[in-house]
Amino acid sequence: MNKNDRVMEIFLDECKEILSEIAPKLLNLEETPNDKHIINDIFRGIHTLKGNANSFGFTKLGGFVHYFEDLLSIYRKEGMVLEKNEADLFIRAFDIVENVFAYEEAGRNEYPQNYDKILNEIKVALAIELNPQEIIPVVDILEDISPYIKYEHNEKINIEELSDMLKKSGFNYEDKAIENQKIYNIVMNLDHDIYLRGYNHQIFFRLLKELGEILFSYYVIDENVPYLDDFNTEVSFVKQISLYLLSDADEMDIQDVFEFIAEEHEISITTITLNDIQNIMQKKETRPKELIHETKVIVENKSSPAVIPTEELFVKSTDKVKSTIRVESIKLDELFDSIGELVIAQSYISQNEQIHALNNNELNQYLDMLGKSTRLIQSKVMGLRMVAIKDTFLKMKRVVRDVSIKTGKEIELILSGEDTEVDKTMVDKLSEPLIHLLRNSVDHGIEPSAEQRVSAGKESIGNIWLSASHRGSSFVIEIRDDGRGIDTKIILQKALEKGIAKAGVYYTDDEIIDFLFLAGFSTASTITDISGRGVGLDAVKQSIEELRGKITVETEFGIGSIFRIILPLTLAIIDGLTVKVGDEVLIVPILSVVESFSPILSNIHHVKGRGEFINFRGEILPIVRLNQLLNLSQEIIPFEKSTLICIDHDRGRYVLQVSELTGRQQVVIKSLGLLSNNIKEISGVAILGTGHIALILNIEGIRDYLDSGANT
Amino acid sequence: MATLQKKTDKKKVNVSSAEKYLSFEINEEMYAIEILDVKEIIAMMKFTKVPKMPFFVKGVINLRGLVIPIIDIRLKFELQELAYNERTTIIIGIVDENLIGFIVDRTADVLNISQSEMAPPPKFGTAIDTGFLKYMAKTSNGVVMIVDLKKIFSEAELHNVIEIEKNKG
Repeated sequence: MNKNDRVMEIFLDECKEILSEIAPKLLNLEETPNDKHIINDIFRGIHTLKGNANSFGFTKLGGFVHYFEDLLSIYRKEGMVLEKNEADLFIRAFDIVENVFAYEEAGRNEYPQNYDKILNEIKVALAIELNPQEIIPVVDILEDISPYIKYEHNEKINIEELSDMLKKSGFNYEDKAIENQKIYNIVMNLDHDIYLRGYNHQIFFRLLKELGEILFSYYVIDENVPYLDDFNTEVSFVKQISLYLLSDADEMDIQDVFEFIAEEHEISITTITLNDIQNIMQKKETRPKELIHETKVIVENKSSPAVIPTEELFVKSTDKVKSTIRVESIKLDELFDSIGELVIAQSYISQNEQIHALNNNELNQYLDMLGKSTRLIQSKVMGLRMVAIKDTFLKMKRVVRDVSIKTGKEIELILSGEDTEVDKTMVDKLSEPLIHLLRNSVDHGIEPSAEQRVSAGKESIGNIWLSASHRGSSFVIEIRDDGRGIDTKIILQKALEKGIAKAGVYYTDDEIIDFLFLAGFSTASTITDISGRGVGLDAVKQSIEELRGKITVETEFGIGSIFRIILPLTLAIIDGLTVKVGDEVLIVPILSVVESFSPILSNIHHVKGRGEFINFRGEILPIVRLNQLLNLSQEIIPFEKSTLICIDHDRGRYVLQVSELTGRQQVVIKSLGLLSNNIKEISGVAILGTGHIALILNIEGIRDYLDSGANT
Repeated sequence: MATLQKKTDKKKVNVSSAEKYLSFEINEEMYAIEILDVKEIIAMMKFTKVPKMPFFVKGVINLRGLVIPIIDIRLKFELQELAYNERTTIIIGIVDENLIGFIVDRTADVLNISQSEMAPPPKFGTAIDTGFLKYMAKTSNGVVMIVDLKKIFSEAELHNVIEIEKNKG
C-alpha cells in the first residue's frame, strides 16, 4: 500500500464515520425537526464532508453536498421552522450522499439514481427559502404522478413493459372471461393549442371507459413547464398520452371515439392480441436476456448520464474490504484493567520463592512461557488504544496540498512529533478540527500572493508547522503559520457589525480573538468550499472541548499565528523514570529528563527567601525537594544521600531531588479522577508491575509551583 | 478513576419493605449502609498516599487495575485515628457512579431492616456529626445508624472540604 492509498483510506474511513454519525441524527431530526443542535451537528458533518470531498477530488459528492449544506445552513438560523417534508428531503438527500459516496469510493464514474432529481429538489427548496414569492415547487406536483410521467416516448409499443405492468396488476391473461378481448394501445399526440380547438382528452377517457377497461396510461409532459405565475391555462403542456385499453370492441369502434379528430398524427391506435402477449411472456420466461429489446430506459431527468439497476444501488465498494470491528472503548478499558491484574498475578508467581524452591525445570519453562505471553498480551492490548498521531498528520499533508492548489498559494507543511502517541478516540476526534484549522491557516493566514509575502520580508513559500508533543499532563498540537496574523481591528469591527461585541466597550486582544470562536462568526467575505461561513472555529472549539481540552491562539499581526490545542492525557502511555523518594515510588516522564546526577555539595547554594539552587554546568537551577513538595515525609533528605534530576521546560530548567533512581518503564497514565483537580503537581498515576500505584509527576505543574515563588 | 455504568438503576428496585443493609463497626458503634451501594468488601491493603488531599483521604488503592480513592471514616467522623489491623476493612461503595473505598474498623452482618424500625437520626447524643446519618434503626442486635454515603464522600463534598482547607491556608 503506498502512502497516498493510505491517506485515501483514512479519508474514506472518516467519511464513513461522518456518514454513520449523521444517519441517526437525521432520524432524530424528523422527530424533533426544530432542534437546532441536531441541525448544527448535521451541518458540521456535511460541512466537513464537503471539505474532505473537495480536497480528495470527489467532485460529484462535493457538488451535491455543497447545495445540501446551503439548504442546511438556512435551517440553522433561529426562527427557521423545519417542516416534516423538508426533514424528509434531508433524509432523501442524505441517501444520495451515501450513494454518491459509495460510487466515488468504487471509482464508478456515474451518478446514482435520483441524483439530479433530489439535487433539483434541494435547489427548488433553496430558491423558495431565499425568494419565497417567486417559485412554486414544480417538483412536488411532479412527484406524485412521476411513475406515469415520461419526457420521451418510444415510438414502438413496448410489449415487455406492458406485460410487466400486466403481471404486476395481477392481470391473468389466461382468464377465460377476457379470452376474446384485445389490448389497444392508443397514443394521443397533443399540440399546444388543443384546448382552443375543443380537444379535451378527458372526454376520450370517458368514452373509452364505456368500451372497456383502461389498464394504465402514460403522460408525456413538456420539459419546459413554466412556473405558476407564467402558466397559461389555455396551453396544453401535456405532449402525449399513451394508454392501454382492454376491450372486446372492434378497432373500428375505437376509432369512432376519435372520429372528429382531423389531423392524423394526433392519434394512433395499435392492437395487441392477448396471444401476442402470451407468446412474449413465455419467451421472456425462458430466454430472458434476448428479449430486452428496444427498452430504452426513460429517465426522469435527461441530464443523468445513465440509469443504474436498483439492485446495484446498494452495492457499496466491495473490493479491498478491510475487516474491522468497532468496540466500545469501555470494553477496552475493562480489558485493560484485566490485563493489569494478569500481569500482577504473573509477576507474583514468577517471583514466588516457594515455586522457585521446587527447582522444577519443566515448571520453570512454563513460567517463562507465561511471562512471555503475558507481556505480549499486555503490549498488544496497550497498542489497541494508543496510536501515533502520524496517520492524522499524513492526512493533513494531503489536505494542505489540495487547499494550497485550490487557493493558488504555495505552502509547505512541516510536520514534527508524528510519533507522539495518543488515545485512539482522541485521534479520531482530532482530524476534523485539524482540517478546519489548517484550512483556516492556508486560506486566511498565509498571504494571498507570493509578492505580498516577499514585500513583507518573508520567503515566497508559506510555511505551516504542525507539531505534536506531550507536555506535562497534556497532549499538545500546534498549528503555526508565518502568514499575516490576525488583525484584531478587523475582527472587532466584524464583531460589532454582528452585534457580538458592544460598541464603546474596551476589549483586549485576547477577548477579541475569542470572538472568532463564537458560532456564526465569519470574516471571510466570500464563502468558499475551503473555509468560510465561520463554521470552522466554533466547531473546532466544540470538538476540543468535548475532549476536555482547550484551544489557544497566539498571533502577531504581520508575523503569523499559532493555534494550540491542549488536550488532557486521559489515557496515554509514557516512558517513565521510576524514582524513590523515601519509600514512595514516583514516575518522572522521561521526555522531560535532561540527565540525573549526584550533586557536588559545593555547587548547592541556599538563597534566603528564594530556596535552594545548584550550579549545573554553569547554569543556576532551582532545586525542588520532592518529599517536601508532595508532603511525603517530614524528613529532610540530605543531598549527599540523594540523586538530582535535571528537568527541561520551556520556562526554564529545574532540578528534582529524589532518594534514588530505580528504573525505567513504560506506564499507562491513569487519571486520579475525583481527586485530580486538587493536585497540579501530579498528572496522574500508573500501576506498576508490582501492583503498586505510583504517582506521575506533572513537570508543568511543578514549574508553575516554582514560578509562583512558593519553593522557599 | 473507575465509574460504574449500569449498576445504579438497580437501586430503584424496591422489592420488599425490609431492605438489606451492610453493617460495620466504628469505635464500637454499629453503622450500616444500603447493600446496593456496596460493590465489594476487601481487607485493608497497601495504598499510595496522594499529596494535598483532605486529611480523611488516605490515598488510592489498586483494585484489580482500578484506581480507587480510600477514605478513613474514623477521620471523617472526627474520631481518634486507629492503627489499621487485621480486622480493618475497606468497603468499596458506589457514590454517584464513582467507586470509593471506605475504611471501617470491621464489617459485621448483613441486616434486614424494615421501614418500621427506622427513626430519624437523633439531633444530639451521638459520637459523630448527625449530618452523615440517614436514619437510626432499632434492631434486635441493638441500635444501628444508617449512614448516607453521599454525605460522607461525594465529589461536591470533597471540593467543599478542599476549598475550606485552601481558605484556611
